Amino acid sequence: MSFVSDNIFKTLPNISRADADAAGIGIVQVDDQGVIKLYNKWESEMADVPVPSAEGRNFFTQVAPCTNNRLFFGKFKDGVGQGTLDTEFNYTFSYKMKPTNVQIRLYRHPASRTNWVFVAPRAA
Amino acid sequence: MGYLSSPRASGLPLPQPNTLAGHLWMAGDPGVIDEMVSVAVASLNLSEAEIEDLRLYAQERSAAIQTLAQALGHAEDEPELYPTIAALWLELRFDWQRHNEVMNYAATRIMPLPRVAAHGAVGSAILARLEDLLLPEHRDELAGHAIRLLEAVVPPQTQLVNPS
Repeated sequence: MSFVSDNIFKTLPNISRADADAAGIGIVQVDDQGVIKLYNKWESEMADVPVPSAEGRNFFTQVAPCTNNRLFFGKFKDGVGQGTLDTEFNYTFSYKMKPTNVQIRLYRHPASRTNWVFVAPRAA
Repeated sequence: MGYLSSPRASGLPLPQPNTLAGHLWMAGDPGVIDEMVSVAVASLNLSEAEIEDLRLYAQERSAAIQTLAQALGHAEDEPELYPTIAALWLELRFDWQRHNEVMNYAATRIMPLPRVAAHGAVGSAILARLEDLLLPEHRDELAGHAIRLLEAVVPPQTQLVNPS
């Protein structure tokens, strides 16, 4: 069972900023290159990156460079390239923060071809 | 820890406050960096030896930053100090990147390595303090160059198949 609820999936791809901010998990929408279109409040607070400093920048190389490897960005690129991005895995963020264990779901909404990164905390 | 109460990292004179070297000196404040170590220690299950190792790692970087600030501490040194700070930022960024890769690959394949995670976290916190001394456009340019530099390095196929 995923940490991303069905209710959230039902709101894609037109989830409002208010709904995204009200979610108790990180929600980031990125384009096919990784440029951030939506960066919700939870993610902003967890990463200590203000929303205006994140949106418009590349998630994988500029905002969360700890994800710029085959384990994370590689999965994203492969999934986007094949048009079937939907994977969930554990990861640890460490860039300018204390080590934070998280669950990640990378998902491409098939109809709208929009890409989503979902983040939730997990126990070590 | 205040500007003048910081212990001297070397026998060189302290840089003047409100200069680039002065700001760099403050960025390497061992008291602040030690607080970063405490934050990392509180979030991870480390042995006493690992904590000591982490403190040493942080102290060495603090001393390196403050020694740089002292060595290039004259006003006429600033044109050279700025790119040297950029070089140090790159050095620390690559160091953090290696820790990040080891930490996440190890966690995926074998087991978490909290010692590596702690070094990565403290290293990136020190990185953030240096980052404030660089213009955002220069920081982005350096980061972009660093990424492209490594993307261009593709191992020959023979090495992938036969590491010997």
